[in-house]
Amino acid sequence: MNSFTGPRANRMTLAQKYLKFHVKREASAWRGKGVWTRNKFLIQAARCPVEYPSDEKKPLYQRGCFLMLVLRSVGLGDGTATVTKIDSQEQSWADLMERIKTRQDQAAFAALFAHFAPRIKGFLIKSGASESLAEECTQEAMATLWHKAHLFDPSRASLSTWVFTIARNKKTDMLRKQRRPEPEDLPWGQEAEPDQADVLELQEESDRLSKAVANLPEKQRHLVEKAYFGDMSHSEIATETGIPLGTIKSRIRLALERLRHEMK
Amino acid sequence: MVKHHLPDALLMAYAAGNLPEAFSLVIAAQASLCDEARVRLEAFDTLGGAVLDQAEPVAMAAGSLEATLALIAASQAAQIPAPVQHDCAVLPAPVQDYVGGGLDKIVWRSAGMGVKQAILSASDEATVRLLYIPSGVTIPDHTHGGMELTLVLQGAFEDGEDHFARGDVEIADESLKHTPMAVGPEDCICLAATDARLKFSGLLPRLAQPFLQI
Repeated sequence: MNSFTGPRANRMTLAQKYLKFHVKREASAWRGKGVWTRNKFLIQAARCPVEYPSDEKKPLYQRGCFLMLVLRSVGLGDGTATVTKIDSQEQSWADLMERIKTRQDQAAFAALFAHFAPRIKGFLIKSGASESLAEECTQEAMATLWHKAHLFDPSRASLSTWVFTIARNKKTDMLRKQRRPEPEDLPWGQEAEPDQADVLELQEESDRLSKAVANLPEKQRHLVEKAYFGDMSHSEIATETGIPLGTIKSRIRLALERLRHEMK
Repeated sequence: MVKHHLPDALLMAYAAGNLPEAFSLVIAAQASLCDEARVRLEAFDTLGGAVLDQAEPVAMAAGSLEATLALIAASQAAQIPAPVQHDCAVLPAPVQDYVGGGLDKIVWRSAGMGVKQAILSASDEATVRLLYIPSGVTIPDHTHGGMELTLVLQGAFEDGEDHFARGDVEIADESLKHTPMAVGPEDCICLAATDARLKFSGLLPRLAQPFLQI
């Protein structure tokens, strides 16, 4: 549905060319804002934004509607009833998680599924899983995401981080068939509402890290990927990843110190 | 204050899910005692998230979303078990999970010279055990076929010029011949993971090896 590759690409209509141009432009505009990448945008655009929460989001909504119409007209949008409430593009992952948590919102889940499931599957295949095992594992990981949505705290970890830990734990469980001991849980639950500033800053840090990974020289990026996705032993891992982890560490350290202070 | 920390490569391998269970337990236990390790681990989790973000997607099978929603509906009733109470001041929570409680639940086996051990998990890849070393006792001189991680949970030990106290972790490999000696007022309790059988240098300890199972 939201792919411009494959057989469809060979028969691109004028409308599709126009659309592709727009999508590219929109996607790059949103990339600068952080969480939105081209894929996420496409999924959103192809599905009906039925409401917009504020005036400042109106232009976004209108563009979304326009693109959705174009997508539908070229047969790319599914327009199905299951997904009708994804509103503006600025809706962050955390909001989608909130909707799963509070309203068991399947539309929000579908949007997260479209983004994360194929990546988890790729990760598991690279880790040595067969296609069918990876598919099964991914479905289970996504089901875990649904069931544990209430444990997700956006001021503590970005959604990508959290999803990664779920996928990794599934890998340990289903591929390695081992238990995974985790550090003692800290009582983070004391704060009722996560601080929005913390959420934003952590999200920005995580996005910056994603960009740093994307911008690594090919060879180095491959090494980092292999360290995480392959079955590289600790002695094979190059300690120097070439990725600056200092900032994210200071953020995590700060959050931890605050927590320790509150616990006193 | 923890003075002897875990190296990045081990933390990253743990974050990536590529360590044998025995070593993972030592990492999880150490991070329970040391905020610095916790911070570094979470940073490596974040890096994992970034790598996942940038990963090449592989298309899901047709009807996958529907299958997952069905899976969710089917397991809706499944309860997440209530967290176990961890109330031992010596054993970190992940170790208590393996022991099934606190210090009083450990099933010690004597290994001679007052040294006791309790194997918590063993596989072809690696073994993890609790070691009890009375203050003043030295573990026989041994070298390693692979790697040994030793985390101090109570008391302290000295190895050569280095002093290891609660939260400190010693990393030994083939190149290191070591003779840890428990020191201080308290007997020493350690969590140790090994990925190959130890080779003892003297004849008598070599005979003892099958009994020690290390």
